[in-house]
Order: sequence, then structure tokens, then C-alpha cells
Amino acid sequence: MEITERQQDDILIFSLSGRLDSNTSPDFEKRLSGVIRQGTRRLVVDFGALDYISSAGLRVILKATKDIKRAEGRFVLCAMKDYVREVFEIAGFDTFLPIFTSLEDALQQF
Amino acid sequence: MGADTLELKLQNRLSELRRLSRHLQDFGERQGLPPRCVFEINFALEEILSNIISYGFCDDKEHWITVRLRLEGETLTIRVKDDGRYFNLSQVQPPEIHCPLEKRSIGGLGIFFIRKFMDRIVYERRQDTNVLTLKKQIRR
Repeated sequence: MEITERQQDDILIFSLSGRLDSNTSPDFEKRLSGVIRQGTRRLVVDFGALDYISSAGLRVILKATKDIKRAEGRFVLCAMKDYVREVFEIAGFDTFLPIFTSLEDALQQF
Repeated sequence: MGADTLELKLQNRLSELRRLSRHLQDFGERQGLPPRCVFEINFALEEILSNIISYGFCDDKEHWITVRLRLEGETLTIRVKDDGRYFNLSQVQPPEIHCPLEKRSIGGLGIFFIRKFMDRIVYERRQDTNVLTLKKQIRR
């Protein structure tokens, strides 16, 4: 999996491509907790080029959601393939985690 | 091996899941399975195998896990065999998914997905082997 990081004003955007699974999740978890520890409070993860997520990937997203909430920040996701989105819906994550169809829409929420 | 069967032997290492997913992609393409369907199979199998690899073995030895997929008409049968400790997937309680964020945990969620993505799950313990048989109707 490739992780691209971009800072736009006070919003940090992670763009993922490839597979977020049990092999790649630990790395992404470190990146997420690192930026939150360093003070990021507005965070977007762009799933546009992500082909696959496993429950290890969901676990990382759930942890980041809790960490950001504790820090009174805001965390949103965007641009998921329909079957990736379905996994979030089945897990019920869409009830506490905003998911937008495009990166532009996501950025407008801040 | 016929064109409608995929048989793989995987070692008890998480890195083997990458090899599994490559083979699943190829199998899906060969059989013309819808991408969503391949995704669901991959998700369920990754859950099952990462469970076996992470929790199934009490020693540090090398173990082999066999995965076989067979497509007959529109019915896909998947069989996973391992010589790890007894683990009956069907007895795991589903997670509570309608509680607030603070109370959400990820435990059990994998199994919840396996049930969602597969139509039938049969567990058998044969001597020292776990045999898990899953069936999925392919909807094109």
C-alpha cells in the first residue's frame, strides 16, 4: 500500500492506494497516531485508490476515530469504492464517521 | 487441477495472505466473477486465515493451511483445513454494532463479516484438523 500525505492549511490528507490489510495496517496505524500526537486535529483519509480493506484496516480507522474524538478534532473519510463503503456500513461505522463521495466534499466540511 | 478449482497451501505467516489474494484475483478473473464478489471472498478468507495464523498454533513450528475453492455452476464452495487447535467459528457471538463509538470494539467483527459474506458455514473437527466449509451463491 502507498500512503501519500498532504497538508492543506490546517487539514491533513492521507491518500491510500492498494490494500489496507493485516500486512499494511500496522504501518498506517503508526502514521495516524504519529500525526495525531503531533497535534493534527483535522484529518481526511482519501480512499480513492484503495482497492481493498480488511477488518485489520477497520480496526486502525476505529482507533484513529477514537483518538481524534478524544482530542476534540474532526476525522472524515472520502471517495470509497462502493464495496469498500459497504464494509463500513455493515460494520456500522458510518453512524459515527462521516463518509463523503469526493475529496472536495470532504474538505468543504471543515 | 481443473479450471474451476483453486487449491493453495499457505504457511502460517501473515505475509502469505498477499499470495492468497493474488490467487483469488486470478481465479475471479478466470471465472468471470464480479469484483464485489471477489472482494467478499477475499475479505472472509483473510479473516479466517489471519485468525488461524495469529491464534491457531501453540508452537513456533511451521504449519500448512490448505485452502480450496471450487465453483460448480453458481455455487462456490471454499474449504479451509488447518492442524491448529480446536476453533469453532460458528460458536462465536456476534458483536454489538449498534452502540456508540466509545463502546465500539473491533472484536468479533471479522466473524460477523464472514457470516454476512458467506451463505453457509460448516465446522468440523476431524482428528487433529479443523475443517471449515463455506458456501457462497454467486450473484452476477
